[in-house]
Amino acid sequence: MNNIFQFDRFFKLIARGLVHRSKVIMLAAIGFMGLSLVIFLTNVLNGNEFFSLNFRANTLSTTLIFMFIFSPFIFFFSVNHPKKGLTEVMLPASALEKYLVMQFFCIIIAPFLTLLFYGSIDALLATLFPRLFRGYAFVEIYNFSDFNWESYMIFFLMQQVFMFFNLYFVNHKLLKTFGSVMLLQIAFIILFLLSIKLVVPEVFEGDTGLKMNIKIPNGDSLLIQKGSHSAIVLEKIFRIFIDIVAPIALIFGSYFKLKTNRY
Amino acid sequence: MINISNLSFRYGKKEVLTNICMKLETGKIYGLLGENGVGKTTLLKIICGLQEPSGGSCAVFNENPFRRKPSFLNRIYYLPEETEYIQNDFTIKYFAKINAPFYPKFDNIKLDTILKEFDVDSDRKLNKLSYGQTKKAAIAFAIATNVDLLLLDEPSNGLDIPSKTIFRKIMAEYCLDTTCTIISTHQVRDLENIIDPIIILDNRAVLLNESLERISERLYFGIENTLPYNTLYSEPTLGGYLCVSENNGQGESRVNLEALFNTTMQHKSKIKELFKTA
Repeated sequence: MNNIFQFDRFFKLIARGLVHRSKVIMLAAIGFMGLSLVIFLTNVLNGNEFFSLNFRANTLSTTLIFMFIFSPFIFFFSVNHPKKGLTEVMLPASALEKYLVMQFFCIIIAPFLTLLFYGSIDALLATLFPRLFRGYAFVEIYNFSDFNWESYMIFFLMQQVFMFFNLYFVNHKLLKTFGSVMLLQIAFIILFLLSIKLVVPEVFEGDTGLKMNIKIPNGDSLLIQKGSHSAIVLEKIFRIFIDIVAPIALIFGSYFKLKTNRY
Repeated sequence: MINISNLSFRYGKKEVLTNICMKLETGKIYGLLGENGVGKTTLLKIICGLQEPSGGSCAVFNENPFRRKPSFLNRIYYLPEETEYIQNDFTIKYFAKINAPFYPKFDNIKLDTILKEFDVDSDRKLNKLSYGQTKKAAIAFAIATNVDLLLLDEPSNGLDIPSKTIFRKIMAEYCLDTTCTIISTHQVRDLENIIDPIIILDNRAVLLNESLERISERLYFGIENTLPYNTLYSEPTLGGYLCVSENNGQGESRVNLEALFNTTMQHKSKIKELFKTA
């Protein structure tokens, strides 16, 4: 028997996970479909496009982001609970398989559910009543400029932060997670400002604080070019940390926590 | 099957188990007895890989349980005292359907039979059952897994008197010669006829790990009209005193587990000595 990974065990775990979380999935379905219907009914009652396509697409993207980021809590809140989590931990499957199932639910299932239940009802209503629901929300979100690789990486990082803290904390998870995230953000900002002060001291002049505006092009390569301005180098180092180092560290950290958790 | 050597465990600064040594074999139903807080549940958790020892070693099927390999987990089932882990929105039948595929020797017929004996409807939702009924469902699932090592923490807690009788019957019927069962309990009278050997645990040591046969060879349990001078433990009972004394040729007697436990607690070193030299 392969004790690290077996496809049949992995698929059995996914099937079990879907059944086990059917109540959450059903609640999400009702919630998303209800949301879409409420928007539609508001338009019906107003007799015109009270909620525009842009609003519907914004609602869809917000819901998608919410489901994506908070999915570790939504699907796996009790996974490390000393009593409720015992079925999961004692289930004969490897830690890697259990971990990959968690990631599968958070990265694939959570956004899929949103698109399926909110997006499909929206699309159905838009097809049936084009006068009240003009265009499709799930098509419109692709035109949003802030739905790019960079923002996806930020959402992914936040999801992985929540995944880690969901496994790390046992009691008062939400409170402790938000507290920790706030502390980490403050620490990160302080570190960033200190680094800027150290590397580009001309940014800070006298007591007036920040005076110089550094314009950094967004979305370009993470490679550091020779002869780049030190501010650009610093920005790239921070971006490498956010886009690559932190997610990888969190992925391994969560896996290690799941594997070595004590109950 | 289980080899525990110099095992220690601490929760923070609090020492729970210190230098525990024992070997457990297949084909037996061990009764794990001990006062509150001596670490019975912790020991079970270490054996099934939920906790890691602070010192010493615990090998189950020659493996470190804490690595929680699938090949290890499908040979072991831990039934905790609390049933929160099983309480969800599924029927018992459905819970078995989604979890049984992970246990290669799972026996659905056995599950149905045990549930019928316990008079629990498998079509009822687990979160709608009473504590006792949930416990029965959990026991039925645990036994139906047919694993090599079954760990039961206070299984008779919450069971009514008829169910305790059924539980004893089921344990005697279904625990095979190829399996090892460890039952941790306070309620020794509930399990008096099924557990053998007996392990009495203290947080500093295993005070006793002996079969009932050996216990009755070394200790004599009898009802006397007056208290004999050499008795180790006595308590008033109908018709005189229940006495436990060294067996100096009085012959075999039926071991009273409660009296044995109290004797061991009152004469820790004497009991250890008695069984060391035996």
